[in-house]
Amino acid sequence: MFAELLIAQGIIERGLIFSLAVMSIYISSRIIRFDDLSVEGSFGLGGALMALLITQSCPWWIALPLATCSGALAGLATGLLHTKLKLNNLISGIVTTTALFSINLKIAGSNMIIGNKATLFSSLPSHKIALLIPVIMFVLLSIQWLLKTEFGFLLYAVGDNKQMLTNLGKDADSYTIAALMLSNALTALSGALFVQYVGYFSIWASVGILIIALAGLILSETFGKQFSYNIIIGAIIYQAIIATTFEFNIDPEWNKLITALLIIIMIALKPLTTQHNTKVTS
Amino acid sequence: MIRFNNVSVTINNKEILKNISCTIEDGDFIIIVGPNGAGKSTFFDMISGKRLPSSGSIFLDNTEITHLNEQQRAPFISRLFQNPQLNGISSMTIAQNLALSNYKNKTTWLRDGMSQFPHHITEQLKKLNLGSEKLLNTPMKDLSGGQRQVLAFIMATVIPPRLFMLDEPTAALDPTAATTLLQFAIQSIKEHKMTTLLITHDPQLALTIGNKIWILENGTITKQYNHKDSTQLSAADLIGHIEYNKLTQ
Repeated sequence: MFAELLIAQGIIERGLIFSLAVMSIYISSRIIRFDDLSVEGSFGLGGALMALLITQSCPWWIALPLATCSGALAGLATGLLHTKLKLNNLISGIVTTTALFSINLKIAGSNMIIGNKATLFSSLPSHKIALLIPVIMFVLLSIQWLLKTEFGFLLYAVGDNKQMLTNLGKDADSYTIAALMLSNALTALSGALFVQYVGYFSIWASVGILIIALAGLILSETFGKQFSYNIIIGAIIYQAIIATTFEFNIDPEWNKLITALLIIIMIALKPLTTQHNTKVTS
Repeated sequence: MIRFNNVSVTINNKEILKNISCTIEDGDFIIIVGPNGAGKSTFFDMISGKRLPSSGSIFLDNTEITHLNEQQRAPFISRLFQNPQLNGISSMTIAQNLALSNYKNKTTWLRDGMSQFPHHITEQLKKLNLGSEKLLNTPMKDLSGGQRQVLAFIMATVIPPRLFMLDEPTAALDPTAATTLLQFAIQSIKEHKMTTLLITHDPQLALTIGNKIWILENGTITKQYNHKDSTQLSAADLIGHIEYNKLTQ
């Protein structure tokens, strides 16, 4: 019984961490309708910077915001490639992710162990969930609030009808860039939390983040299209599905394939979960 | 007053507008007619700043605005598109769309998105049976094409613009919806003495409303009529008519 509880706790904790990546994908693909592949690189960037700073004895509470901001810079790069050089969405994201792969290797190598340095979780190592819940709730509620502000309304407008922003005398490109910065900052935060959670950075951990986040998002949409708790639930369910595969002794190397199949199945069942149908709450 | 001096617009090495010189006086309600491909929409794109002139100059009163882009001209120009999709945010509610339309010419930051809801237009909404609480919270995409264009009209004029441009606003509507929109629009344009340009393919409409008719052909304004002339004109004089006798041969 105790073992099951521990497994459940682990699933929820990982779900909470990855829910940030789901929030990120929600902002890019559902609000501004920009299929952003750079999250793959910014997850690694946040993790690499976090690992480097912590091992250099930087306090985690300074390293965490810095790692988050690094993601915003990655989003800025993608945004500038798209708006100034007119690269299309996918190419802008791929270019950023590719560049970040080298940068992440230079920052933290292919692996970097944090060891016994202090992290967010040091104070409650066996109850990480108690520390994660307030962090994730704070982020979720902040973004919920942000989406109801004038700024948030204009982000929805960017995704739906850029002409409308021009008509209002606003620069649609600036709002696209701002949303990409926000979304990549969230993924970087997710990466930075993940590194502290598992105790090491691995360059391979960021491979497939996009698809993990997308799976979480599609799962979350069965509970509702809003930017709300359904995002966290979707992320946790995804982790539960992956954990179940462990129970069946399936080789973890199949994880990505299982995720891909899961997405295909979810999309095949799309009539139940109509996509691109976000609604602004107020 | 907006003045155009020898304005040309070239797209992909093709001159779409040729040496246009004309003046839009304050309070004018100008109907623009012309055959397909005459450059009517490009004319609007040039005025709104979506297409910058390849030569010539544009003045707003005595200020040159030739090189201002669409976003920079937005503070004094408003435009209603033929395609209802371009006139609002489908995923947002009517109330949110109205609030959004009132962001024009204002700095926007982190205030509540609904804080700029234009309460001064509630009377207009009531007239259209759009004012009820329930309807205001309906997503824009649930409206019919006609309702959507009327709402778009209200949104485009929440802050009355110096120049208002309507590009075949009724093209996608059935006659009843078109009448409702035009009735509402004409009344509102007159009431606020809005300087207006309207593109239409309907010669009868051109002869019925407005104080001037401009005919655009082959990228240039070939004829300008004022209201007095238009009483002498027939629909066929403007853009020809369908030759029904040829259809039965």
